[in-house]
Amino acid sequence: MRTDQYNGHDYFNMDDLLSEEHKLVRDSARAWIKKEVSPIIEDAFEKGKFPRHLIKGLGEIGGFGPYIPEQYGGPGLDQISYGLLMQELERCDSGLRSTSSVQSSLVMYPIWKYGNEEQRMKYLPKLATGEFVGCFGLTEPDHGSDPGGMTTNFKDMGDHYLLNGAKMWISNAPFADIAVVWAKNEAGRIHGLIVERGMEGFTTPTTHGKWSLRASDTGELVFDNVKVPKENLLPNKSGLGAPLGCLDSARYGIAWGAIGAALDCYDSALRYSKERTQFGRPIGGFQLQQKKLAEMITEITKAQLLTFRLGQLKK
Amino acid sequence: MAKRNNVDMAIHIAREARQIHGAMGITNEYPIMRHMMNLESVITYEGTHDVHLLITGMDITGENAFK
Repeated sequence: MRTDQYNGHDYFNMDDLLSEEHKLVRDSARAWIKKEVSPIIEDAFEKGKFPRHLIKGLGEIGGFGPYIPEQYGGPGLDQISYGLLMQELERCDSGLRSTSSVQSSLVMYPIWKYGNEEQRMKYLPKLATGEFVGCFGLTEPDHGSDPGGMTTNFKDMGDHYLLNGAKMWISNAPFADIAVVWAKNEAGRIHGLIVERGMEGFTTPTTHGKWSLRASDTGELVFDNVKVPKENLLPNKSGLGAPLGCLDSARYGIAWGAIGAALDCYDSALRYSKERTQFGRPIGGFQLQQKKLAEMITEITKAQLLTFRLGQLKK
Repeated sequence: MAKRNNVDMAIHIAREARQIHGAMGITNEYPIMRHMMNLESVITYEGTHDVHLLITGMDITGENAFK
C-alpha cells in the first residue's frame, strides 16, 4: 500500500494568516486522515461504499458542523477552520468531504438557523458527534438547477402534515437517520421538514452505477403519504431562499475542498516528476513538465488567497 | 464564484497531473483518477458550473439570463 506522504503546499506563506487554532484544527484533521482514511480510501472507492466506521472519527476532528456553537454540541469554530477542515478532507477524497459538508451545511445549518430551540437541542448534539447522520432533500428527478419547480408537497391534516414526492442525488441518503426535506405547502410555499428514518412510507433506495464519489453513499428519498409531526417543520424561514442559504454555506466549503483535491494531485505529480527518470534525467527537469507544475502551483495559490478572503468576508 | 473557480482549477490540475504520471497516472497506485472522477460530480452539484456563471452575470448586469 502506498504511504500518504502529503505535507501541504504554501507558496505564499498563507500560514502567516492563520491562528494557532486554525493550524491545530488542520493538523489534527491531516493526522487522522493519514492514519485512518488514506490506507483504506482506494478500496472504499473501488467497492463503491462509504466507510461508515469513520463517522465517529469525523465527529471527533470537528467535521460535523464545525461552526455550530458549543451550546448545541458543536465545536464552535470559525469559518476559516471550517474551510481548512473541508480542504483536508477533500485532499483525501471528495466523497469524504461530501459526507461532512452535507451533515454540516445542509442538515445542521438549517436546523440551527431555521429551527426552534427544541429542534436544535433534539438534533444538533447528536449530529455533531455522528450519533445521527443527516441528509438534505432538495433536488428532484425533474428539478435540478430549477429547484423552485419542485413538486414534493405536504398537506395540513390538522394534527400532522402528509408528505408526498421524491428527491434524488441525495448524499448520505441510504444510511441517514434524518432528512431535511424541502417541500411545498398547499399555498405553494417552500418549507423545510425534518423526516426521520422509520416514518411509515419513507424509503431511501441506493443509487448504483456511479463512476464518481464512489466512496460516498448516494440515494433517493421517496415519500408515500408520510405522516410528519407538526413540530418537525422548521419554523423560522420559508421560501426558496431557505434551502439556497444552506447551499451558500456548502459551496463555501466546496471552494476550500477543491483546493484540497488540487493540492493532492499537485503533490503527487511534483514528487513523481522528481523520481521518474527518462532520457537520463528526472522528468521534472524538462520544460514541458515544469510548465505544468508551475502553472498548477500558481492556480492553487490564487485559489487559496481568493478563498481565504471569502472566509474573512463570511465572518 | 469561488466554488466555480476552484473546482474548475482542480479538474484542470487533475488532468495535467495524470499526464505527468504517464501510464501510472491511470492506476490506483496514485490518487489522480479518483480525484478526477470525483470532481466531475463536484463541478455539477450544489449549483452547476454554468448556472454559477449566470449568477455572477446577473449580479454584475442586473439581468437574469436563466429564467
